[in-house]
Amino acid sequence: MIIETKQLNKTFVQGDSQIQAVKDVSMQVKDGETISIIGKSGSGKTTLLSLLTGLEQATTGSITLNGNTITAMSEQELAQYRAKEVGIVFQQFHLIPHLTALENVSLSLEIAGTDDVQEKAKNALKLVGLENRLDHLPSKLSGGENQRVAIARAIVNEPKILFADEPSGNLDLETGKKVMDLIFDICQKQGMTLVLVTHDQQLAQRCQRQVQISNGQMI
Amino acid sequence: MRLIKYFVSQLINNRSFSLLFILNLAIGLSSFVTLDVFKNSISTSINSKSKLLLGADFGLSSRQPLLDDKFNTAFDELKQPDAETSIVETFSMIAGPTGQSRLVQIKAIEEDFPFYGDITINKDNKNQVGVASRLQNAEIAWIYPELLIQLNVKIGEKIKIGQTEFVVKAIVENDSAEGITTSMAPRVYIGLKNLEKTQLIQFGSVAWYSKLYKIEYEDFDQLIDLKLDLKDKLSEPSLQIYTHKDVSEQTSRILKYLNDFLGLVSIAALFLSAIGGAFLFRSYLIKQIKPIGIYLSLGMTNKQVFLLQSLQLLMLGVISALLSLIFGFTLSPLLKVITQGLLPFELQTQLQTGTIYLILILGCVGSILIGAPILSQIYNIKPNILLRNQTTQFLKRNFGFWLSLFIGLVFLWALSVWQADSVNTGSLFTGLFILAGLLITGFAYSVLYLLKTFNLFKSLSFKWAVRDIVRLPFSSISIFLSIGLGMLLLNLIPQIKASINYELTMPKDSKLPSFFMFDIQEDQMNALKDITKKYNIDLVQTSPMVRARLKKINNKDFKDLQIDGENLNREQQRRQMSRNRGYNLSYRNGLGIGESIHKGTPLNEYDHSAMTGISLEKRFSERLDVKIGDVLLFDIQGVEVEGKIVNIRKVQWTTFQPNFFILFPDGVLNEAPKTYISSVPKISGKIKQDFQNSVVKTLPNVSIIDVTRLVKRIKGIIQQMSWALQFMTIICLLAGFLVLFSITNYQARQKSKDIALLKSLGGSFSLIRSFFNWQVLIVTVFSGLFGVLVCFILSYFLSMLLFDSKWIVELQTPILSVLGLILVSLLISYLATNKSLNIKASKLLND
Repeated sequence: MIIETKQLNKTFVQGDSQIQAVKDVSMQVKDGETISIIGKSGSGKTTLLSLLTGLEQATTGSITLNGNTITAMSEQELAQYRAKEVGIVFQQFHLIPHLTALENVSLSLEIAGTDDVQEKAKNALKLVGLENRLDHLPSKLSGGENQRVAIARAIVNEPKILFADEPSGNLDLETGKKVMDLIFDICQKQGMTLVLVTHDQQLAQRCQRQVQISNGQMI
Repeated sequence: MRLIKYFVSQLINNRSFSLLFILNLAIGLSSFVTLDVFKNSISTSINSKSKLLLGADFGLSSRQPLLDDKFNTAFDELKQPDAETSIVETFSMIAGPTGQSRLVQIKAIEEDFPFYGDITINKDNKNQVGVASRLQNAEIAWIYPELLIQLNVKIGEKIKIGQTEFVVKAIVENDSAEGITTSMAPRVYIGLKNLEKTQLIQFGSVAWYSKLYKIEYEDFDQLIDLKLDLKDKLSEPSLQIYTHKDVSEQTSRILKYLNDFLGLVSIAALFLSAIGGAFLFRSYLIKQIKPIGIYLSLGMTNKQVFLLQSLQLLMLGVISALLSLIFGFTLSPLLKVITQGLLPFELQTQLQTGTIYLILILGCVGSILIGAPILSQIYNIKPNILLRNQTTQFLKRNFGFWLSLFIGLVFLWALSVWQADSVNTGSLFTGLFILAGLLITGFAYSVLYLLKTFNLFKSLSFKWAVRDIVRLPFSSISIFLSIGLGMLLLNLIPQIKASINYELTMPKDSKLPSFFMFDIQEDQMNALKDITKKYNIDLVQTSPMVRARLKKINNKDFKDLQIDGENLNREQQRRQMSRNRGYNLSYRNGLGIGESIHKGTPLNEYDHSAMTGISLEKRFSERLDVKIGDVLLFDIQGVEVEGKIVNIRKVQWTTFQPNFFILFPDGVLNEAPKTYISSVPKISGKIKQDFQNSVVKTLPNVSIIDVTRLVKRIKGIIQQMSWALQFMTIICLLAGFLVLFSITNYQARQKSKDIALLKSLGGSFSLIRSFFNWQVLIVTVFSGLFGVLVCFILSYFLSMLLFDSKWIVELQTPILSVLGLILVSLLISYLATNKSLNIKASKLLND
């Protein structure tokens, strides 16, 4: 199993009250599998993704990614792990506005300490069809193009797992479809495991498996 | 109006911006409040004491004895005074019973002096009001307390003033007419009737003859009218006519110059605050573009948005102003330290209504001007921005941007002129400030270019830091500019002080004299030479001095060239002062010590057949507004002498050698009645005292200035003034650091998303920290060095042009300030970055 969670819980404290965003989630994902986490707004799907990517610390329970228990890792170890083993695509793209498309993609490689940064970044952008937009700033690119840069940044280190949080949520139907086609295509070609968070049932159906989440619990 | 609440809540929801903006502007305005409170306290204190300082309502002074008839006739035709009294003031050496001597100010008074205030004397261990009539009947004197030690004299013993011995009858405990000059030489009161017996006043002696009047008046303007009418009637340029307020203004003149300079430093602090404020407001407004888009899409007009955003600025401006009034008033007593010894009384600091209005206006206008260039950029914004992701692209530098920037600079200039009370100084300051800003900006752009072009280090964090600095030029240049200007101001004052101090320091091989002597009569020269021979001393630059009045310039009556009026600016005041005096002429062939020809040709030897060439000192020629080729006509004891200016001389006055504003060649004035001035080269302590005592004993009318003591006193005054300047500079620096904090903190907050992203991409804390540290280090090192470099350039020109002194590099302050800057900046950056680092990267998913 490339992903395995056991009795995963996440509780947020808000003032005097406690909100349990994730409750006793235990799941397993096979290597190369594509799964979708679906649920309504506020169901806890994004929190679950935060826990799986190590962006948030679990209150209790464990997460094992590719044999490494990330819940036992320090911030430093988590950062190193994310740099090499995991790719994340955000709904809001989160590109650095004053960096070009090429520089935004290079950033991942530089953090991971990879060689041939330029070459690999260019290849990644070529893979997402942006070989002619290398020196463009995010402000000069369309929404779909920005998301493609973000995808290139996420896959450039050839991670084992790609996490995607509503990647087409900010795009129109047609562009969104193209972006999703691209993600599925890359995952298939590179044998990457995909964990897709969405509220779109149709999109979720494109994954091999669907995990429904409601009130923080798997149903 | 109902919409205002949304904009108020916008401010409340952006508390950190609001607080930083208020704090930023409040610090800038605090320096203004402090200074205004200080200025008002001086002027109120002095004005309230102006009648006491003069001891009368009105006065006339001249270097020549005043003829009663002439003045009485003039007064008869204008306004009859209620009472009048005469006084004569002179500087002279006096000796105690053991032969100890000291330069003092002799004030010979008549029995009814003063009309206002009193001279409290201590007699038989009791304080009482001195009755001046007692001074008239016998050779008795009242002396200032410090003379007891300096002359080794006790009450009841005798002191020698000129040729006569006076009994010390009392010590002056409190003198309502104590002015600034008394701190240079202690005062001795004697009766006017006894002055003649001293034989101090001889031909050419430096003495001031005054007539003081008590005049009943309902409105002060009556005194001003009287002054102007008398000037017309008496038409005597060498006669000074003044009201009691003129005297108080003269008393505070030394502090006025300081105030002007402090004023300019306070403008610099305000300007720094403006830079920080503008930066903060820009960041805030960028954040508000989306809400603005929402307001517009809901039907609000651009004008409404613009006005409501301006209203926000106004609110922040008013709060800043109120806060600065509290800050400034709390800090102002610290400035009192500098008046100790400069003013004869202690200042009482008070906040005046005028100051409150001024600061409120500055807060409101200032905050609007700070925001105007950025506000003008959003004026044409369209609601479709809601459909875009990038909002900064809507901020275009349009006509409104440049216009409001221009208005801001004009406001800065107007403020400088007003603070300095001089168009020239204000313009020079604004010009230099803009020049310094341009230089720093130029340097900053060069650094950005170099950083872009050359890859200095391979380190990833350094590369990112450079990339951020280069890609965000507006914020980078803003930081370069604000820190650079702060460092410039911090270093400029110690730098100039170092140059002035160097001029006044007496190293072992210095040519600074020990004594400067004046009032030497022609027939006393041989006796003086005998004394110098006895002590094996050679007199230096002994120069004849001839009193004269300037009658005409280029055949025009000098009187017609005078500037009259009450509301003269600083340049006019200086010009008027230099024009109202009689002049001391001298003659010699060749240049003296500390002199060099600035323009023109050396003085030729005297030739009967041609018009005499004369030489004028550079600044004196500027004040007189004359140039080479102009012809001046002098009246020397009724004889007219004409001279054409052939050269303009630069004189290094700090050599303390006998130098003159106007020089004739040898031969023209030789027959005119004259006295001599001379200097004594540096001699050791024991011989110095013996020589001084010996001169006083043999030639009691000759005045001797102890140059060492004088230099010490001047250095003391400079030290006191530099404390004040450093105090204001600290406020300025505080403003600079707050700008730095505002910018660094805001950038770190703005970058919190970038930090979260870097974390989500696997960037370690140390990598992210090192990235920010590099950014801060690059910016602070370069901006600090630019500030210091520009400071060196400006101080060089100021030393050479304004102070005529040698430029001295003072390295301690620049090194310490740059190191301090780097350390403080790194600390600020660490704290600000830390806050952002602790925000969870999952924030990105929740957006």
